[in-house]
Amino acid sequence: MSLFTALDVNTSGLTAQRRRFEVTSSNLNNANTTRTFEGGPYRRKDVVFQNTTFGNALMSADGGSEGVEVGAVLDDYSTAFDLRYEPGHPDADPVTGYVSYPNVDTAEEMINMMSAARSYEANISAISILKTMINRTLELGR
Amino acid sequence: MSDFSIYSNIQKAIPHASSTSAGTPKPTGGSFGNVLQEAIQQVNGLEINSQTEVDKFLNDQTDLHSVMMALEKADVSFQMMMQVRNKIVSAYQEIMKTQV
Repeated sequence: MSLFTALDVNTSGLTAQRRRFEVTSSNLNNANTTRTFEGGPYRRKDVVFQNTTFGNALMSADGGSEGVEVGAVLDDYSTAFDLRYEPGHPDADPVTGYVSYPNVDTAEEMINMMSAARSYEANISAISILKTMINRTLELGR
Repeated sequence: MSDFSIYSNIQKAIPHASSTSAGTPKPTGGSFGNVLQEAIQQVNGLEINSQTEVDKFLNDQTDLHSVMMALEKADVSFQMMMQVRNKIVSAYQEIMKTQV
C-alpha cells in the first residue's frame, strides 16, 4: 500500500527471524541439559511461522500486505531422547544406568542458526533497497 | 501510524491550492495552511514515536530493529517535509520576485 507498509512487513520478518534465532540458540545451549523444571531432559523446540496482515485489508487493492510472525514454539516429539550409559551421572536411571540426553542435534541447530541469520540479512537487504528507493524518490524534488 | 498518509494529504492540497488561484475558493475543507499543519503534525507524531521506541528499547521492551525502523520512518518523513518546505519557499520567493 505505501512505502511504510513495506518497512513494517520487513520489520515483522526481522522480529520472526530473531525469535527463531533465539529458540535455536536455546536448543544449542541446552544440548546437554538433563534437568528441567518440567522434569526429564530438555526437549528441543521448533518455531512455527504464520502470516499476518498489515493495514486495512479491505482498503488496499492487493488484499493487504502480509508479514510474518512466530505462531507457536512447539516441543519436538518426533525424535527420542539420546540414551547414554553413564552410571555415575547424578541423573542416571538408578536401575539401568542410562542417562537421557536432549534430542538436540548440534549440527542441525547450527544449520538452523545459519539459515535464520541469512534470512535476517535478506530482510536487512530488502530494507536498505527500500531506503534507497525512498531517498531516490525524494531526490526528485531537488 | 503505519500509513504514509502525508502523501495523500499533499495530493489533496495541490488541487485545492490551484483551485484557489483560479479564483474559485472552496468554502468547505481545510485551507492549504491547515493541510500543511496536519502533515507536519503527522511528521512530528513519527518523531515522537521514534523517541518512545528508543525509551522502550532502553527499558528492554522492544527490539533493536524496531527502534531502527521507527527512526528510519521519522527520518524519511522529516526529509519529505523538508522537500515540501523547500518547494513552498522557492515558490514564495518566485512570487516575491514578480515585477509590479
